[in-house]
Amino acid sequence: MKLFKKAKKYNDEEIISILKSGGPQESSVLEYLYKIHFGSIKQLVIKQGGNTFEAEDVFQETLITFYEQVKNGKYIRHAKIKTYLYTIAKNNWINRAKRNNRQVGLNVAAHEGKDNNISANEILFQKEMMVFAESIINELGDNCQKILELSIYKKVAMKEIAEIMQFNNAQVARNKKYKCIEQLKKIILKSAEFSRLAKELKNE
Amino acid sequence: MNDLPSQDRKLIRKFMEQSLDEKELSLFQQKMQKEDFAQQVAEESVRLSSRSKLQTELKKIHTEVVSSQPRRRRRMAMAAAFGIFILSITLYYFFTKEIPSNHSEIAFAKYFEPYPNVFEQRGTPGSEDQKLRRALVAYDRQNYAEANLLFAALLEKEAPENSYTPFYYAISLLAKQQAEEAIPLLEAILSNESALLKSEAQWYLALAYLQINQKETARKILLDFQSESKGFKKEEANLLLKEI
Repeated sequence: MKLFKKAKKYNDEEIISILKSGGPQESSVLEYLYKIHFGSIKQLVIKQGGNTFEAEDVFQETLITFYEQVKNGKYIRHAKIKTYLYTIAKNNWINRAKRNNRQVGLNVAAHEGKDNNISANEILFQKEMMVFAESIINELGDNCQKILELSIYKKVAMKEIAEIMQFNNAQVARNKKYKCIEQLKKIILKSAEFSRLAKELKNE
Repeated sequence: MNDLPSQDRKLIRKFMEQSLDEKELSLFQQKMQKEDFAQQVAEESVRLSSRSKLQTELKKIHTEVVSSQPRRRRRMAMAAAFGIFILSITLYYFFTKEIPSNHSEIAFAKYFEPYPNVFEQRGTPGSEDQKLRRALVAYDRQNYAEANLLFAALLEKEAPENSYTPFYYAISLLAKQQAEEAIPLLEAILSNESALLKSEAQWYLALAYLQINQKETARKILLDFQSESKGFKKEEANLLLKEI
């Protein structure tokens, strides 16, 4: 069955439905999106003077934006996913090219005012924030990390989280989530206290 | 996080950036005693961390999907392909007419021909083999609509022990101009270590991308194919590369 699963094709409705529910097929859907759409986004970037590595970055940022929009109910289906991804990627590329003062053949004027104020520093900050957040989250146990990721980021229903984590029911999952959040708040407070003390020492 | 006052949002962001000064850190600690604020900081940490994990997952997918071939091997293949390409240009102009480079469909039509049915020679008897034989009879008669139904049923029912079913199914789909459905089947064959007809699948995968006008992808596959093919369609690959 492995071979058939690998060859699975998803239509737009299935993709949205799977990403919304956050089931175990998510990875397979992301892989499918990658296989089907990376080529055209790469072509777009290379045609506009970018290279393969930039195309990879642009496409990954695009998929993350798309993923989060679907999860947060911000994705409104008015076009095919292919067109939607292409539009996000085009904006991503224009922003990136403008940051690097690079000439692009796309209609930049048409994109003025659309998230173009992202600076190179912003990208760096985003990366640093992600690394810092990961260091905080990593202080939690594996189960807590998983529950919080499923519930807060992947928007998986408590009933399903209970099934995935093999809890008795959704209420147990809810209680566990509450405890994990409380634990996380303590870790954050500890981290803030540590930073404050470090700054105090530095100023002395 | 949008529910919070903008000052609080800035404070959380600066905490995540680790750019709070001493005074701001004290304020942050005070605010953390408030339920709403603390909840938002916790959730923001989860979101950022999960985004980072998703990014890592996508990088892994990228490696698996796009960069599975070692770069060195690819460079060597490209160098070899370039040599063959130059040679083939000369031969090509002697024997064929040039096809406009933007006519992928024409190139597809020119190079596509269904792979001969070799199952009878190689296949082993079994209940699933009987069903595959029926599908291949339709395939041999160029009744691709019927063949597609039979192949699809075979694939849905149980996993094929070998790669004959997805291989012939993919070609049958290509014959019906259904490249988007054929592509995942052919890619699955290529990623299956023990699959038969891998080189042949690669050739048809290039044609499939050509059918949907993804010439760049088709070209890359053809370059890989050239370096690995032991004769099957090697010359055609040279000519096709020139055309696209």
